[in-house]
Amino acid sequence: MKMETVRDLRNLTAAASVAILLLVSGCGGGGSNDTTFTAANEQPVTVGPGPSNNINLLFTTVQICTPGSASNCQSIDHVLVDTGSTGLRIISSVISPSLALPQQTGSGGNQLWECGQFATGFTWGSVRSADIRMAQELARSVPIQVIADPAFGVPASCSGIGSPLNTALDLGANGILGVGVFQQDCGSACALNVFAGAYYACISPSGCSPTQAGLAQQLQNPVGMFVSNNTNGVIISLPSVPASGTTAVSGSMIFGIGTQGNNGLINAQVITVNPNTGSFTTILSGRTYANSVVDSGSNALYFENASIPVCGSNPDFDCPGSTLNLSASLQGVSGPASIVNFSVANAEALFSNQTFFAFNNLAGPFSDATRFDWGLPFFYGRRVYTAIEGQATPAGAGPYIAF
Amino acid sequence: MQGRPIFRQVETPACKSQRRSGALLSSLALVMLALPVCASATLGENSSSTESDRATMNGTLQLLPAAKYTVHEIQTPSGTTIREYVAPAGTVFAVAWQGPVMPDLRLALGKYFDRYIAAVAGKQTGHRQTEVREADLVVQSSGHMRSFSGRAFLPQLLPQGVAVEEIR
Repeated sequence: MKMETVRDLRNLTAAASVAILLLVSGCGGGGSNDTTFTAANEQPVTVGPGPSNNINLLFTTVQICTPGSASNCQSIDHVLVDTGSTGLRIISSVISPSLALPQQTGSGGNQLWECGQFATGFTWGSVRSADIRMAQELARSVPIQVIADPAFGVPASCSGIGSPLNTALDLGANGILGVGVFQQDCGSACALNVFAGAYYACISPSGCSPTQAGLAQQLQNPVGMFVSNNTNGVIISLPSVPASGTTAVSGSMIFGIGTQGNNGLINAQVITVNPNTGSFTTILSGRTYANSVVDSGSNALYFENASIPVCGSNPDFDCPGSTLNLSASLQGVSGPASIVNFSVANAEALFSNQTFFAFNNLAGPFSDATRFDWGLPFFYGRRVYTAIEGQATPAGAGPYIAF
Repeated sequence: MQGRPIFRQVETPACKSQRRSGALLSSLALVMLALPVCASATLGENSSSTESDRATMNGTLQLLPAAKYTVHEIQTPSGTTIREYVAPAGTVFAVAWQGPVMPDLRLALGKYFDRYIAAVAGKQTGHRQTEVREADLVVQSSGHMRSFSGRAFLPQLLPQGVAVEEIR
């Protein structure tokens, strides 16, 4: 492995086997019993070793059910909690065939499939309907992506996006739960235009071709579809971690913003984001990063800064001689700026303890000098709010992030 | 780029279909018409390849002359812009993209695509960015759903005096 300084993958097979066993044992059953001591809108989340043994990945267990059924359900563990994308995507191999999730149809009655878009590559699979249960919340008949559904192979115009993210090892998780600021993953672009690389209509045996997908047909942020009134966003609440890192972290994802006693904004600072891109502006040392995001799906703080040396063994992460204490200003589309203090530690030193998986001071360079990706290190010791576009909250309508 | 230079719309010659997968059949003829597919080759190829890229992407092409190169800018129906940088000798030495949807990098990178995929395998930096930085090839892709950007260039083919920062 090229990236041996992060984690070697020698235990991967064993880890994957355990994950599958956990999945199988999670089949059946209706509501979860392990929320006895938490609120009905509070979903446990954890950081620790996952399918790829990578660091700083935030996981949760999502229950998916045959639409309309409270008993034909399956709990999928190690699903990545991602405020930087929208929609639930699960690797087909971990889904029990007995769920028989209905295939969604697009315009013309053809099967709707999707090429899920990430900067590194794509998830290819069918769009199917599932009931989603998290904590005591329920979202009915949500379009989700079944990644690597075998019925249709990857169209060339989809695989041209980049690397395949169609296995748990590729994804680093059994699935991705996109709970970002957008209600749909693609939005109006896919509803109004036909282009390759997003939604596809598939017909047997001829194959798949690009298609339009209406807003309601696209993958959805399941939170926005909850039957409760906790539909306007999520709070990710994680404890602090020591400067040297720690083995594992347990926290919670709280549904709704300002809708009940445990999800108030209190004195949170609101950063409104661009309604088209989800981005805001970060200013660090006089330098402006106009495309900034707060993103639980990123495992480090990524930003370009030539004055911070990268690691000799792994140039994907920063290795300053001694820990840097920095202060940035976060500026939304409107409203006042907020100051964020953070640290950048030497990544090689952090990674030297192979049992540690959570770091609040891990950073790396970003090839696009306009982007600042406030990844999971930002979330430790904070309550981070992600408000969904168009939904009312006590601080105004989304989209925004707050902390 | 200095300001917004003059541009001209380029005529679209008929596009010969050379489907890679052969998966689309006559029942999808309408879609085929909307998305004609041509020979794909861009980075490192002759500038004529930008027209086939435009046709494949069903976009519109503008030529934006600059001092040391010409930018062939393709606007695609997805809203994403692909900019192909052509040296005076006619070679595409860089490609940049920006917009809500990832472009087909196999098309944009041509023969370098497979190298890009092989080089980024195993990276543990998540799904918001990836980078290849080698002596003769740099590929950088970043962003999140509804906001992607990136560039690829051949350092050894950069015309003299062209700064990497100009490729965006």
